[in-house]
Formats: sequence, structure tokens, C-alpha cells
Amino acid sequence: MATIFRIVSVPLILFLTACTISLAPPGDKAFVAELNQANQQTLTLFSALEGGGARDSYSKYSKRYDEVIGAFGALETKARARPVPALGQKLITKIARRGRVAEICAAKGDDATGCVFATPDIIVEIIEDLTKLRELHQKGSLKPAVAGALKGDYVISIQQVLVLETALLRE
Amino acid sequence: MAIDIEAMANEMIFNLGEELSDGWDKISAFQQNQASLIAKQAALIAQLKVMGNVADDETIEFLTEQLKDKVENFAKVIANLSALTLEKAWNAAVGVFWNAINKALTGAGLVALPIPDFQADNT
Repeated sequence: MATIFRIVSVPLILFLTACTISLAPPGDKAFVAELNQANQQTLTLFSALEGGGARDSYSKYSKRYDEVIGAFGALETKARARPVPALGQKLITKIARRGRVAEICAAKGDDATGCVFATPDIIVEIIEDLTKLRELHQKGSLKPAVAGALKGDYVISIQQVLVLETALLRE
Repeated sequence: MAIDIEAMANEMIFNLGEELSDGWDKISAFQQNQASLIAKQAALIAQLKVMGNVADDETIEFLTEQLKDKVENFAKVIANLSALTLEKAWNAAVGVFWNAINKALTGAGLVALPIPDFQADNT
């Protein structure tokens, strides 16, 4: 039995392991650095808004909102331009046809790209949080508890994207 | 120099195990962190709703919808990290294979071969 296993398995291993594979996009050190910078700016903004944001203070913050939303917008564009490996996409598309995974990975038709490279979708969420923060401040309805809840939302997403992008560096 | 197939297979399996275990530890730590943040956020939204006059219905609805999207993105990141772990484990095993081949080639005075990248032909 052991001999048969060896006869079958060794050539199979040799055949299968002939090439390296890429199942996720390449990492980008400059992207991670820009992400960290945008995060620092955003957390500083949240810190300044801990006591909430009155309507008459909005003009003082307007430029800072534009800067952080613009920074994440630029990062989203960059992320969308990164190539997603065909092999990873094929693998996820096959897995995504099943059960609960299908609901998440293939939420937009048959496109399972999000499960091969989630960064663009996460950054969209961040932009939505910051846009809501700006809108509430502009309207004068940014109470401290709401600013805290939006910060909580933001922290979930920024942790997701930082963990993923650091892992993509493959260091 | 002859290739010791059995030793090479054992080393490949060892490397696979190491990479998979390391990858799983990282995924597990991330999963625990996110679960805690998501649970706190759900409690915070519930608190806002109970407080009544702090946030309007539209804001509560926005926060709830965002939380749902964040849970979905969390699942996507887990899928991403799992694929990366698989990739690293696979490539570590391939590294052992080509190392053995190149040792045999250079031992016989031949030039070592670069490891082919399957993805290069498939993107």
C-alpha cells in the first residue's frame, strides 16, 4: 500500500509543485504608507470632534474633511487599478457558488473580485463614513455620541484594510 | 548530486504545515479583534437608538447598514487572508522542490533554473 502511495504521490507532487502561484494581488509599500498617513489625519480629525460638531464650527473643519475624503478617494482609485490574479479569481468564483460564501463574495452578480481583493470595497465604506460625518457636521447634528459611533465604524474598516494590505506585502 | 525524493517530500510537507499554521494564527488574531469591534459597535448603535434624541432615524439606519457592510467586508478579508496563506504555503513547498533540483543541477556544473510563475501565464 505504502509503495503504491509513493508511486502515485511522488510524481503527482512533482507535477503539481512545478510552479509558484499568485492567489492575491501584489502588495504595495507606497500604498500602505499613504494609507497610514490618511489614517493618522482621520484619527486626528475624529479626536478633534470628540465633543461633537456645531454648525458654526464647520467652516473651520471643511478643508480637513476634503483632505481625508480626497486621500481615501485617491487610494480607492489606486487600489482598483491593481491587477487581480486570474488564478485567485477563478478559485474564489468556484468557491463563491456555494452557500453563505456566495451571498458575500458574489453579491454583485458573478463578480467575486471582492473576495480576492477586498481593499476597494473597504475604502468605499470608509469614504461613506467620513462623508456622513461631514454631512452631519454641516447640518449641525453631529452630537458626541454620533461622532463616536462613526469613529467606531471607521476603526472597523481601517483595521480590515491595514491588516489586508500588510499581509499582501508578503514579508 | 542525486535528489532525495523522500526527504524533499517530507520537507515540503513540513513547510506547508508551518505556513498554514502561521497563516491561521494571524487570521485567528484578526478575527478576534474584529469580532470584538463589531460587537462593541452593535452595542453602541443600540445605545444610540435607546437614547432617542441623540441621532435621527436616518442616522441610525445608516449606521446599521454600515455595520452590515463591515461584517461582509470582514468575511471578504478572511477569504483574502486564507488565499494568501494557501499561496504562501504552496510557494514554500515549491521552493523546496526547485531548491533540490537546482542543487542537483549546480552540483553537476549546470546553471540553476529560475522558479516558473504559473500566474505569469494566466493574468
